[in-house]
Amino acid sequence: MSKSKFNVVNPDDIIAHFGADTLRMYEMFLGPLEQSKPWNTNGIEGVYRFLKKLWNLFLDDQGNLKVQEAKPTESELRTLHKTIKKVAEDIERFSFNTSVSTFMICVNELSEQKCRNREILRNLLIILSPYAPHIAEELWSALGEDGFVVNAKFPDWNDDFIKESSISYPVAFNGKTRFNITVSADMPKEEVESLALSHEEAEKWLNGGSPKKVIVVPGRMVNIVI
Amino acid sequence: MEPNFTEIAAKWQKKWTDQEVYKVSHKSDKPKYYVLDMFPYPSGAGLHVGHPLGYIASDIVSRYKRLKGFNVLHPMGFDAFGLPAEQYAIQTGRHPADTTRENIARYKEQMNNIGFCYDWSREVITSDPSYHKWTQWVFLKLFGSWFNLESNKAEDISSLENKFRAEGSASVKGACSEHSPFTAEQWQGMSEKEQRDILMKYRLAYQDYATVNWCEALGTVLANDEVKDGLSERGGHPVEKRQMRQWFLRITAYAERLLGDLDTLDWTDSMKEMQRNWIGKSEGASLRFDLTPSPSPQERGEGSSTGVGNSDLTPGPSPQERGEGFVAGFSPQERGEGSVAGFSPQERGDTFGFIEDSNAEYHLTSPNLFKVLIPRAKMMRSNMTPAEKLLWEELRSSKTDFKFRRQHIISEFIVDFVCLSKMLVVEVDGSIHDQTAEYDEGRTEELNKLGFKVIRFQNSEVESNLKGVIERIVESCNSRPTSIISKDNLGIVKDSEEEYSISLLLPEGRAGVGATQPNEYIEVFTTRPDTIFGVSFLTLAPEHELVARITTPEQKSEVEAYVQVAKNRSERERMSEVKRISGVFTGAYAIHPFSGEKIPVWVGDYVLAGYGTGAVMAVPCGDQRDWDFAKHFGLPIPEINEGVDISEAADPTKEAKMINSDFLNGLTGYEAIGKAIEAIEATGFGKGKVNFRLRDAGFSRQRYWGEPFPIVYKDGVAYPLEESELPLELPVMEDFRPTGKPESPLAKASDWVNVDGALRETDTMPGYAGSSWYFLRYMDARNEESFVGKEAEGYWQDVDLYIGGTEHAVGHLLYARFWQKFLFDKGLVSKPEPFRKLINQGMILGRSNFVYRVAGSNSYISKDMLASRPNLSGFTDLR
Repeated sequence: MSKSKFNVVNPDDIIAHFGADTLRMYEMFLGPLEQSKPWNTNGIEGVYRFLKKLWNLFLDDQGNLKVQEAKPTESELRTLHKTIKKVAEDIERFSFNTSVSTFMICVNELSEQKCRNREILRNLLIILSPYAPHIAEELWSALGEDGFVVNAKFPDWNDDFIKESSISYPVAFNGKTRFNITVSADMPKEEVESLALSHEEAEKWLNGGSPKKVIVVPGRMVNIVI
Repeated sequence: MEPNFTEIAAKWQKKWTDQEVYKVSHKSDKPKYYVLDMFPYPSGAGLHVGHPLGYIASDIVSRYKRLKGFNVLHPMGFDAFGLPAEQYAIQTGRHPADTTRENIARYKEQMNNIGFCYDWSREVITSDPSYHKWTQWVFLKLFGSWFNLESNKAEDISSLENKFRAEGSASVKGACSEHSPFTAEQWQGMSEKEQRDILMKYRLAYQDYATVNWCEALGTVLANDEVKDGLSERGGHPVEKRQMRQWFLRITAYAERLLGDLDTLDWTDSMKEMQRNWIGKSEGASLRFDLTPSPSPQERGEGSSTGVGNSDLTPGPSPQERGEGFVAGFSPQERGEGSVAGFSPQERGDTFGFIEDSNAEYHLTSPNLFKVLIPRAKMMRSNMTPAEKLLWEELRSSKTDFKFRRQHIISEFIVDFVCLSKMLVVEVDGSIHDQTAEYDEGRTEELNKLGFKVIRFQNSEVESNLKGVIERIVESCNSRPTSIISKDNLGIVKDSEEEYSISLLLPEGRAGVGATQPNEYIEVFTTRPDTIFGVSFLTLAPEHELVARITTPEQKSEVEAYVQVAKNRSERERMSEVKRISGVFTGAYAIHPFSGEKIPVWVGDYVLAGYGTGAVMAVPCGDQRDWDFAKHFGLPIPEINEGVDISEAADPTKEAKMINSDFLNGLTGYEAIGKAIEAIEATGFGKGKVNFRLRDAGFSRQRYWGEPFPIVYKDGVAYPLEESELPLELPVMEDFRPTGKPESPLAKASDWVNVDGALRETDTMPGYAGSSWYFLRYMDARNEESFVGKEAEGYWQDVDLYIGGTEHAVGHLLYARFWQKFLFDKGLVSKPEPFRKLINQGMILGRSNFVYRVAGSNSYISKDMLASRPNLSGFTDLR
């Protein structure tokens, strides 16, 4: 195995190059804990990039704190709370590789949302600290928080934040999807049905006839049988 | 600005350490959570990427539980004793203590670099005297304990001594290497050495003889994994199996509990299954096959077949020599005079045993005498004298604390009343007895010889002073030890591993009077007692102790040669080479317990000494190895299943109807098992029995780098050190290479070995000693007064999550569970199981194991091939 390609079996070399947190997250990322798996450093850069992306949520290129005090947006709250939920549930059932992916999705979403929110980012550090304790401590202290992040309290998630506010239904005619409608998440079945039937495109597919049957699978899809 | 994650990590690791962030205490109001990694053996190679996998996972859980408000115990330490360190030391000439210290420092540095939240203030190193002091202490506790099968737990050895002193061995039901019957008087008369030899057979840490791999060329004893195909792995020298006195831990006493409590654990099914298989419980029957008497040289060839006789194959030690002092299967001839009732030896029959009558009462006599006497006894019961009736009213149905029987057959006599548990006979004499005083004297003497005390009352005494008579009877009962012979205790008599023939206790001074050797017999364990009529031969393991004793002179040289070859084949070879059939006839025959037919006794190395009894009843129609053996040597293959074709191979079916099987005919195998066990028990040839594959754990190593035993020998008797003398540290030795003799290198340290006229044990403990309890030490690692403080143990209790590799599935995890249960029995820990939840991390495999897909094609190529073909590029599709 060649060290120049970081195709190594010694953890010290990985730590020297990418840091301990990268090693920790990468070993977990390899697959389910109880499965045997090949050692393969191909993905290590990906984990390293993820940690840098996380870093960039907090600090700019000059090392200045980007974080602001503000009210978190709904989408920021949703991203955070679904991450808290997933990570907590995954650790409780000893599924660590899935948590790593969850963190990656979370950081991607927060980056897209251009999240600068202290409350969101502070909680993210707490839930990340079991996996990447060193970077979590560094950013915790950058936020100006007291004490160690490893002594913080794991946040609870709120299901209300996780709930999607609107749902996109694919509308199918005889099993073939023809268009989508976006409705609020708590819209009753009947309303979804009439909304689908009254859509401008529906006319075309109904072709003047009336449907034999309309099936609405809540939260999933609408199928119109003609 | 690029963040430097490596520098950041080092910065925070230092802060955590400086501020003792991960230090925890049991003095906390928070709920506890104990996360444990299987601690590593600190090899010279340092951590590999595979190591941290489990450590990282456990670290994540620990940190998560902290954040969730738990007080988390997450310690780390080193399993530092062991063979590799010693071998490395011998190669390099450096002391294992030095190399171990260096390796540990390297491991700790690597672990700290990964940022684990260990509380290092609790670090344990198993080779450190401050730790192994307590390993030795637990050993002393095991040495000082026995397993009481009645309470199903370990007890202090003093409770056993008290029982022996007060009651002899009869009432003792303990897990033991060998049960020997003796009375309280006999115990009290024994020398200290004799007493300690008996106690050794009950201790939970005990000595016994066992086979070791001795390599003459290397001058050392080798561990099993250092031996391959009968040769030493190092150098390829021949390895010989030798018997040496070794320490063992009586883990078998806990087999049932280790099995049952698996159900309480949150482990994977596969892990539990591995432990279940290792414990290997099977239910069946143990069964005795008596051997035919070996004919005298003149008689040989005449086909003597006298049935269950007092065959006297080879004179063993006399009862006195064996320190047993009991009579088993005594023959009337040898009991000599006193046959007052005038029964001829033929009428009396040869063997005595308990015979159950229609009232479910057990009579101690021979089958012939029983037949003759039972009608008389019945008649006498219905014609009791008025005095007998009066007394019986008081004695029956346990109005006293003692169970009496009336008109009971003992040997050739019908006694008026007897309390079997106290071996007390009560006779009521009327006018008839007055005229037969001489007869009564002879009768009393005979009963005394059998160990019974006889007290006599006159009819008039019973009639005028019944209360006084009862008082005297009770007093006599109270003054006698409880013997093995009582209805309640009959189970024990039958249970006794060694003695199926009934043993009678003799009072002190009577030992051996009229005694003869017990019959030689072969004990087998079978899970298929239903196939008893399919038995056409018996096979003994080459190591079976009977082999040498029963082999006839004609077969001697052949058998000896065979045994010699078999000895040096490993168990694995013997089990795996099924095609290679080998065996030899001993010349001896056993008797089928039901058909009475003669069955040849063979030696075959497909039978392992360590499993069951080391002897099998061969049923060639149902067992493929038996079938192969029978075919190979032209032995009969009786058919016992209707419509089952066994011409090409054995068929172990339990579905088919039984044929040629006497009282089992017409039943299926499933139905026949219970019935066969019933019949086996009724005839006294055996009993239903549970067998375990689990063996007692060998606890001796002839090595330097292990825990010394806190034991000294005075006149060959093992004595424990005082607790205050612990830790017993290893002597500093320049040269701890093997001595060239089958002994431990410590034998060379003569200053250390010799202490005040006593000699230290020179073996050391095996690698698993220190790892069998380290999880407890972490709870209170710096306690100098105790192996773990009560308060700390009471708080942390058990491991909530244990993470480690499957390679420890049976060894370490089973031993640790055993030690925990033992300490639990002693009231030293609060939980009967140490590891509530167990997770096995998978392995991280090296790349070289994989094939590569050649770029742009669907063909595959190994890594080596790829390397040798520079113009090809290959991929692994694994991500």
